[in-house]
Amino acid sequence: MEQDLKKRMGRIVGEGNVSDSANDRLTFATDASQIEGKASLVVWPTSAEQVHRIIVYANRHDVPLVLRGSGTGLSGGAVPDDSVVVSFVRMDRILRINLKERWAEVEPGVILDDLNAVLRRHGLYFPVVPSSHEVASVGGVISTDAVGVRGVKYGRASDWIEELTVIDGTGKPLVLKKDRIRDFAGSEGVCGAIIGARLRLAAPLGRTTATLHAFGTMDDLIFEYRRIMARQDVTAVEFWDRTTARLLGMDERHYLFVEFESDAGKVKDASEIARLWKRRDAIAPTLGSKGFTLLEDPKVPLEELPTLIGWLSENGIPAFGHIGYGIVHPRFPKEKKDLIPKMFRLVKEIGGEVTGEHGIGIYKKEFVPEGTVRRIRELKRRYDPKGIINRGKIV
Amino acid sequence: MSGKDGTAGAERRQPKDIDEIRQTIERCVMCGLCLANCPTYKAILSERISARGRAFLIGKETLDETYFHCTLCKACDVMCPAGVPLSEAIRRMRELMVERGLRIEANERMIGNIRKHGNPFGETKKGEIPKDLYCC
Ligand SMILES: Cc1cc2nc3c(=O)[nH]c(=O)nc-3n(C[C@H](O)[C@H](O)[C@H](O)COP(=O)(O)OP(=O)(O)OC[C@H]3O[C@@H](n4cnc5c(N)ncnc54)[C@H](O)[C@@H]3O)c2cc1C
Ligand code: SF4
Ligand code: SF4
Repeated sequence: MEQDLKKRMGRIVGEGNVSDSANDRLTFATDASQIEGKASLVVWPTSAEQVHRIIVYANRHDVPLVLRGSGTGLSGGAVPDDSVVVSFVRMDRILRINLKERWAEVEPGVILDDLNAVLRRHGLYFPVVPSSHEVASVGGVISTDAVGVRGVKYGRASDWIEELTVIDGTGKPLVLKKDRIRDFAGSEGVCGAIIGARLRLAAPLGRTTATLHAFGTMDDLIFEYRRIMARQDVTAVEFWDRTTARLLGMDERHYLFVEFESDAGKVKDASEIARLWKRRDAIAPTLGSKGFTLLEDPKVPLEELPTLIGWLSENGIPAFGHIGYGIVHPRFPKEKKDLIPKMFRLVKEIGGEVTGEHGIGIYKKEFVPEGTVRRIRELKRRYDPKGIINRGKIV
Repeated sequence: MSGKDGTAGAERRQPKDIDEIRQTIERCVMCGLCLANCPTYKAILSERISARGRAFLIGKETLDETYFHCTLCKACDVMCPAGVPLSEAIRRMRELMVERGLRIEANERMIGNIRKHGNPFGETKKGEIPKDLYCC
């Protein structure tokens, strides 16, 4: 059966774009969540037409598919459940850029940094840049409705989409606009494949400056944050707590990193600012390498942030995040895994949500709010009634 | 060696020696940031032929010809925020495979060409571009 499937997929995507080798299947059975599943086959479509044929075939023959961008997702969204992995990384063309109307049409496998490198030459910028921007694909960023590190200024991915071209779970090609964009943006691939996007573009940031503040208490940090947010020139506000600072070899204080699109920051030198960003981007993997491997992303109201950070500190858990969006990233060591559901309970008690940006995937299924379950079931009924795509994800 | 990943007929798991190499990259958290600069990933766009894929396969104590495809450029070491010394682990995996007689066909041809013709490309005539190019 598998041999037959390989042959049939090979006929669609070409022999060089399908593999059933044991080690291809092994390396595609996991992602940055480190959850391991099982891949029955890997296919790399190179055109929208091929994706269409794959999904139609899968429907006809009940073949489960899992969709994958660069596999930097942290909730196991791209982890297969004995399914065929459809990798979009070879669909990586920038199709059109409209300078006057400021939009770009791209395939889903385009890497954010590659896109922005091209756009920069035209004086444009796609501003949703998660910390994984060097690797993350446009399809993954849209499907998780990622929040970039400049979320305070630019919001989420879905705020920057004019049009999505998709093939839904039944194999039907659709062009989605306005409200319907959110059926796919943020639903982690459970409705079907994004095969193209028309992205709105911004002008590149002007000259930026930055300040790194250090505080003795979270209350002081929040006070300063509120003061800063009254300004109009803030492009990013990130924080890390004292436990994180200690693990990074910094003074044990709470830190607030602020980027301004003006001369207001203390650090003016571009390479020094780039160094600060690099340090910020490295926090998650650095903590991971010190044994804090389990990354969470609860979202809490600002006034409750000290409660959550206090609880985490008491338990020796480092945390950092996009304070401007209320998203906190605590990192737990495996041996303290039992604290995670306790934290989720606390997050709910203080009026927060268990996931602010990384999505639910497989990892947070048991904590999905009832409203989300209903919405995803409804979307599934509409777009993928047979449950062919990303099965076992979210619901 | 035959088979897509070049391991057909090879003993798949070699716990004792590989375990030592595996421990040197234990800090890898699979974040994937090393994919950004890995030239073999950029060329092939497959996890197996990438820095992260190699780290994962070493973690699974698995032999694969991908270690030979690596250019040992160390871009992954530079990129890795967790300080994983991946290129050295890959080099050691290669060494281990050679010790076990698991060279890939390209190695064999290249070594044969050097012995026979004094260069890795085989018989070359003046002004002619070599048909096979091997490196590493
Ligand atoms: C070091 C690090 C830092 C990160 N920082 C951030 C951050 O700041 N903000 C943030 O929001 N996230 C962050 N993430 C999480 C992750 O990088 C983002 O979710 C990213 O958008 C995923 O992109 P990807 O291409 O890797 O997608 P993948 O991981 O491959 O897939 C993610 C989800 O999208 C689906 N999908 C992928 N492509 C398609 C497609 N074409 N059509 C339909 N569904 C598809 C998959 O099925 C899966 O459910 C970070 C991750 C890491 C490792
Ligand atoms: S080697 Fe480093 S950069 Fe690469 S996946 Fe592992 S931790 Fe991330
Ligand atoms: S050393 Fe090898 S694995 Fe690392 S980036 Fe270079 S080619 Fe990729």
